[in-house]
Amino acid sequence: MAQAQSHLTISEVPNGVTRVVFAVRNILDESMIHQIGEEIAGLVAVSNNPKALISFRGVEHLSSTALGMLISIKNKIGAKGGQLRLSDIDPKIHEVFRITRLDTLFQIHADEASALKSFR
Amino acid sequence: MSHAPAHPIRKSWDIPSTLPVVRDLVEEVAQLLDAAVWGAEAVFAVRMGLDEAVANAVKHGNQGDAIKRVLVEMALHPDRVELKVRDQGGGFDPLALPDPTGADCIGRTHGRGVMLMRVYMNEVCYNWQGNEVSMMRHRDRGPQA
Repeated sequence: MAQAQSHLTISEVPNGVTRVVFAVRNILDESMIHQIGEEIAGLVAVSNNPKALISFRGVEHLSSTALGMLISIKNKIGAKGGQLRLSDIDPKIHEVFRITRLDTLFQIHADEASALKSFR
Repeated sequence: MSHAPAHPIRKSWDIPSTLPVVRDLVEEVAQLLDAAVWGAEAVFAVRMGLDEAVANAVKHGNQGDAIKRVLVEMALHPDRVELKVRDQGGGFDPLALPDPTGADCIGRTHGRGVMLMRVYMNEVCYNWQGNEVSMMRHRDRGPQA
């Protein structure tokens, strides 16, 4: 069976941080969200104290299911003593985080550079 | 001279309870709003409200049973869009939902859809059974948050 196409661009950056960038503009489709969650969870699973930066550069829409997926990833990273940062969130999407108060749950940075500096 | 139509554009969809169809429907409505030269923030808001309403109808209302249908009606007026989403489930009590921003709910992975509908649409109301939601969004009015 052919492997599903990834919706992420994943790279390793200095300081042991895994950088994840969405390769899609809209994170609305449930099967895509499930696939994204599984892929990031797989990255987290192979590290002892994972450090992950998820960049929202280019993302224009997301759903409440996508928010749930991010919380699930945060919990998985937290359970392994890791750190998660979010960056480059479009103002309209940042407003969704603010309305749901998830801006208090996640460490959100304006850009990748400030997010990378914040890892301990 | 305004390019807005004098009369509402009416469309309706009768879709199976499968999530890929939801994505296509939301995209079609967004394209209709784009064609009517709605602003980006209003289109974002309608996409958010409609996606959450139809996804809820598919997942929770019809519990993913593809045999059950979801009916969606749209009336696009020059100054607003009215949307109605009905499923074939038993309904629910929207007033009984916990506040997803509360300390005991903030970490949950679900339960934010109805709140987002209420914030991004200007009006949201349910029928008595709780299996039909009617929503309205003004073209030029921001979210109520």
